[in-house]
Amino acid sequence: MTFVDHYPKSAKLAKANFAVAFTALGIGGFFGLIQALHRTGWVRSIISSAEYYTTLTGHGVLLALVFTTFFIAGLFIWGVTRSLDREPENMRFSWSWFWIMLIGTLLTTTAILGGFVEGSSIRAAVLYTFYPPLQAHPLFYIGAALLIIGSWLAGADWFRSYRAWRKEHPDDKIPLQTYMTLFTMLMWYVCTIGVALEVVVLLIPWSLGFVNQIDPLLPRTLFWYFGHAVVYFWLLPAYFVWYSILPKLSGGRLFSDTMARIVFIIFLILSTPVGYHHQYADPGISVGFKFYAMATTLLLLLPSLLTLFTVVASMEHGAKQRGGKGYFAWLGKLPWGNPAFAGCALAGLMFAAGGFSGIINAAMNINLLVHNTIWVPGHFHLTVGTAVALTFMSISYWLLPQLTGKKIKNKTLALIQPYLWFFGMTLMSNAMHRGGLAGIPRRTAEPTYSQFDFEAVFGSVAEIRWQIAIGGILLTVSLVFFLWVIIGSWWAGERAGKPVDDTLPAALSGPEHAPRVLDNLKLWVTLAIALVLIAYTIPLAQMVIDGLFSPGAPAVPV
Amino acid sequence: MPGSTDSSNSELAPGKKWLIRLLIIVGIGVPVIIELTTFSGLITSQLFSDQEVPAETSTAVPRSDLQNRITTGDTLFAGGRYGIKVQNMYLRVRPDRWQFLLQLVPTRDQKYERARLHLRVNRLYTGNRRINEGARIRWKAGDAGLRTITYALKAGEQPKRISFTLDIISSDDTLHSESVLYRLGHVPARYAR
Repeated sequence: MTFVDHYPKSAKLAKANFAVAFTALGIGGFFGLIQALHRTGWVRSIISSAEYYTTLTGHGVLLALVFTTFFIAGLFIWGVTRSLDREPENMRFSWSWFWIMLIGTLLTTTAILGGFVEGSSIRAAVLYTFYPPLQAHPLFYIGAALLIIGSWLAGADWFRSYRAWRKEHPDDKIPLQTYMTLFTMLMWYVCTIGVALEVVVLLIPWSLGFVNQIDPLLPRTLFWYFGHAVVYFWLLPAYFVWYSILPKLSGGRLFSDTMARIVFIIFLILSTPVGYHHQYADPGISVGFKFYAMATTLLLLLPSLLTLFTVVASMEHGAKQRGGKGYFAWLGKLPWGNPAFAGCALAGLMFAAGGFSGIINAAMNINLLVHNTIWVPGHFHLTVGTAVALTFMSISYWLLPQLTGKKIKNKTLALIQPYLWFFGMTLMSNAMHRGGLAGIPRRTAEPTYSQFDFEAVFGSVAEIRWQIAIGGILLTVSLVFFLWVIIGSWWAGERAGKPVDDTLPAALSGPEHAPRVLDNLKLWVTLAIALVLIAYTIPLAQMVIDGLFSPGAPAVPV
Repeated sequence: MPGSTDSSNSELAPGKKWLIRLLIIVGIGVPVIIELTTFSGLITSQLFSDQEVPAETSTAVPRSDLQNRITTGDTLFAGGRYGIKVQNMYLRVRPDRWQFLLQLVPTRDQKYERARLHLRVNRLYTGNRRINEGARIRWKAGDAGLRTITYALKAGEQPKRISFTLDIISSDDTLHSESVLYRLGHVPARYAR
């Protein structure tokens, strides 16, 4: 039986989340094209350079916060429902968190789009990071707070399903998809405490005028407490897909269920204490704590390398089931004509490249070479912009028929789409990295200075700009292909004659080989909180004491 | 039950193998070529760019000249457009503090008579510390007057090395800069009350 027929309530809720996610993807992606053309000087007539920052805020918020959060919610509803074989315990509660998230999104989006209306007092050109001194209209912050609160309730919904399942299965290991969902949400709870405090305690009173002065370091630190872990909130659902669905698409089985569980534990433990690596250039934070953040960031390479090994081994197993042989020849037996598989595989490939540039960002000394340059967006367009976004888009071709009972239309366009994204992103991100090495700044509408020319390490800056603009156009075409296929299939797709295949084969090394301690949620959360306390207690205490008892005093390094 | 389900939902229709091959060649092959070209460009730039003769620019070009040991009467930047003569160099020693004094005059060439000279001391190295406070002295066009640089030292401290940057600003405002690091020869001590 197809998922939509077996679990109609979950399917409806998942579809609602995907609808919001794809709408945000369309608008945010269009803003991205405008930015690429404006920044590179190709077309400066669509927006003014002042409006560039409104566009940039819309691009960042709609893609990095709205598209991801709603897609993840839809994916996890599907995963938890099918792996526990039960729909949410209370659909009224489930729909309530969806509506809270949606209302929050609408408020935030209204505040951003208000920046395009001349004379409007409702504006939010504060970029995706939204910390002071840039200030937005209160609607922006209230909306962001509602989005986060809604996501907390969504997590509570999945924990509720898990508890109900546990009562009926006291001795079973947690099914892998639910396990990955719960660990992702635990990490999300730990890391969103920072941004919730920042928004509710500091930014909303400040934007409403209740407080006139604000210490910039404290909200910055609270944001980055959340701001890097959020990357793993986007990435872990991509891992969810790579571990639980990609092996099946390859024609095989997951290599090791235990390895997947260990990877998620490491991410829960290490994701949050890494935030200072975004603040290497900030005064007021001891270099010792920055070093601690560097060490934990580099430790996060371990689960990524474990994932590389496990996922590639699973793909090799699949290819060999399809007749593949040799050390590398098996790659040719993979289903490169299946857009869901091709997109996930290309996303994984590009994630490896993003990991290499991430090592540069994470290293305290080398980071200063590229700090605040366009290298940084070059990096995260490989990670969130491709590893995550391309995985989400590609797996939609596989999920949508299960949620709608309809076949995918325009399969040729669907197949071209991930390859085109990969090609366009290579052009754009490669040029951004090279631009960063030339010192070209990020977050700048017109990155030029009088009587100064950037000098490319090789090639020319003009060629770099061309490459970014062409890459941005190709990405937009790919996005249009994706939306065309999805909307067309959803609205006008042909009903599948037979139930849609949603079976996921058991792992080669299954949960029966996993030690029981891996399922001990309390243990891993306690460890995660302990590492966060080590990283943040002293610096945050100093910032609070400095602000409360000696306002206006310079930040004092530890 | 794969046999009773529709598992080919997103598979491409048969007969389009050429499209898959094209996508792999263009979609993956070209990005790989781009990345290899970038890698090669970066390596070439880092390892072999020294072979290119740099064009004269307005930025300072450090030139290590540690072999030169200068003392009173020697000329700084002797191989460049301008020389700066060390008229006098000594330590003024008082019971409570020491001072390093350096008196300099430009050796003018008629060809560059109309240029302004800005000389700055980037760093002064003593036996165990580096003093970064940079002294600056200037000569207007045609000026060949004596200028004195003074550094306060701790008692017993001996200056060992000194680095200078000389900016030569021509009448048309063209800037030429040169930086040199010198070893200091014998620095005589003069006792003062």
